[in-house]
Amino acid sequence: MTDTTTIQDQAAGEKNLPLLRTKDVTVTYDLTHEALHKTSLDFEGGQVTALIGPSGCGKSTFLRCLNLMNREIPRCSVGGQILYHGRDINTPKENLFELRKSIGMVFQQPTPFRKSIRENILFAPKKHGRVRTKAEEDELVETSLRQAALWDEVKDKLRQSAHALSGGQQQRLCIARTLAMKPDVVLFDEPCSALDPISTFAIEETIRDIAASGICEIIVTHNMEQATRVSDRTAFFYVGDMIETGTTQQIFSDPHDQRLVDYLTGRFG
Amino acid sequence: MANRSLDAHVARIDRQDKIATGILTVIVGLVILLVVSIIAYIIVRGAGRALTPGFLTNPYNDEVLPGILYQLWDSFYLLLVTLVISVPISLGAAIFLVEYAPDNWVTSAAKTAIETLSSLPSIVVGMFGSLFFVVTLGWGISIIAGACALTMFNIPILVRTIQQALEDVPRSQRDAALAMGLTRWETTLNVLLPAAMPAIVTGIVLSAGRVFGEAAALIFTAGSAPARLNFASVNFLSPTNPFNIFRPACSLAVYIWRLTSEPTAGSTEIVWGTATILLACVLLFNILARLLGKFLSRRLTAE
Repeated sequence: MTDTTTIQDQAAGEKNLPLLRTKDVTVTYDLTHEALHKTSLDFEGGQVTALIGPSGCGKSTFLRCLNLMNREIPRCSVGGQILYHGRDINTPKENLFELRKSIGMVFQQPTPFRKSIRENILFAPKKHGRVRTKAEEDELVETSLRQAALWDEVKDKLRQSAHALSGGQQQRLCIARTLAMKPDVVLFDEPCSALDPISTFAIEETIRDIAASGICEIIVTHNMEQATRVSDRTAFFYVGDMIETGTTQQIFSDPHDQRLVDYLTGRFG
Repeated sequence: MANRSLDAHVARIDRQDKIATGILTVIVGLVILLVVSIIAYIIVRGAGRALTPGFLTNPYNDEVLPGILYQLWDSFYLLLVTLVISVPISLGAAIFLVEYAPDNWVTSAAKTAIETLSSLPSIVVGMFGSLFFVVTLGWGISIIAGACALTMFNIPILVRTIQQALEDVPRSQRDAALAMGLTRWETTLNVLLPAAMPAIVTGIVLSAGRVFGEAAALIFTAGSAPARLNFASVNFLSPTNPFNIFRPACSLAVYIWRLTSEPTAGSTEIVWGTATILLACVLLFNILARLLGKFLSRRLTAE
């Protein structure tokens, strides 16, 4: 972990700030279509935040801003501030590649590479020069897979193709692969929507375990039960606006905004 | 009443379905018949000569049994040189167009240019090659000039297939790699290319089949006079050295054209024999393309 925490170290002194904070983040596609209006949220380490809301409400758009994945979309611009360890990353000068090492992302569809399970884990750390010896590699593979609760299932077939795994296992491999980068923030974009209930349960447990290790997690989900099961805080998005945020318990038991009430009671989806 | 009209409706749809299936079956049957009869005709006329021992290993000027050793060698050598030039260029162009090209008029002009190049008549490509590579650059009638002409002919096909192969890699693979802090180039090299490799290799081998049978683009560039080769030669500048890229060469297809336009005694048999060998080679390329593609994709997914 020594040489891997460059960004984290830079702001280590500013303990009172939240790990990740957005201030008036606005996302515009094609110069005119505003997909997200001034959204301000704080995210703490060790905490799971669920982003909920109907399709097209801007929650995934917001999530993709946080590790600057929106930069990969042509003609998409982001306004406002995204403070990571107190430093604004929403600037053209920000080193995306350095940033994404500490803010990991897990996608909707499992996306294992066409490589062995072991290589899937080691691929990025090797590219970034973080593992050098075989022992370091072995250790990283084991700890990452253990963190994602996949080790026991795959420890005897690490050299087999990741594509031979089941969908749920593939998704956990993607989580392990992200954790191998030693991030302090992990973004989940509907990580269970392509999975069966048992795999979903396993992933939810993993998400809780990761939070317990102090990592900040933000999860976009369409599944209300999932939000109540995994998250500490919840933010509700509606047509490009962040409407209401609070502890998950408060949002689900005592919602204030009428639109949130309607959404939770299933009047629109 | 309603029931009867429904029955009539079902009967009508059923009839239409049967007629359509019948017509389509006949059309496909005709296509297959056409291919089979062409192949059968060529094989019937040429197999005797093609299978005669010595036809593949004798030079064209053998007194007893003229063979096609030099032409066969030249065909493969031309193909090799062509692929060595065209694969890297096409790979680069396709990667640029898929991964890097900004969405503007320059890119769309480049795409249109590549498509236009693919529909240029090969004789025109040959004429251009003859004027530019042979005369202007002063390479003379040579393998390198022929290979460059074939490259122009091959690039559009290759760019197309490689582009398609890269585009078929799911967007999520690209995102996943970028989200791990890899650069675009690292992503392309380590994630996209391996994922697209089976399709790329298949495309290259299929294009090789087309290049192998090309004649018109070669007549004015690589020449049509059968070369005299000396396989023992070690002087790479000698016109008889098989590896010399600045010597003229005559491919199988060009040889067929030449013997047909200037027939000599006994040349008909040679033409049909050569055609059979050419056909066999092209079929071989197609089979090879399938096998390689399957093998690679199994290797990349299962191992």
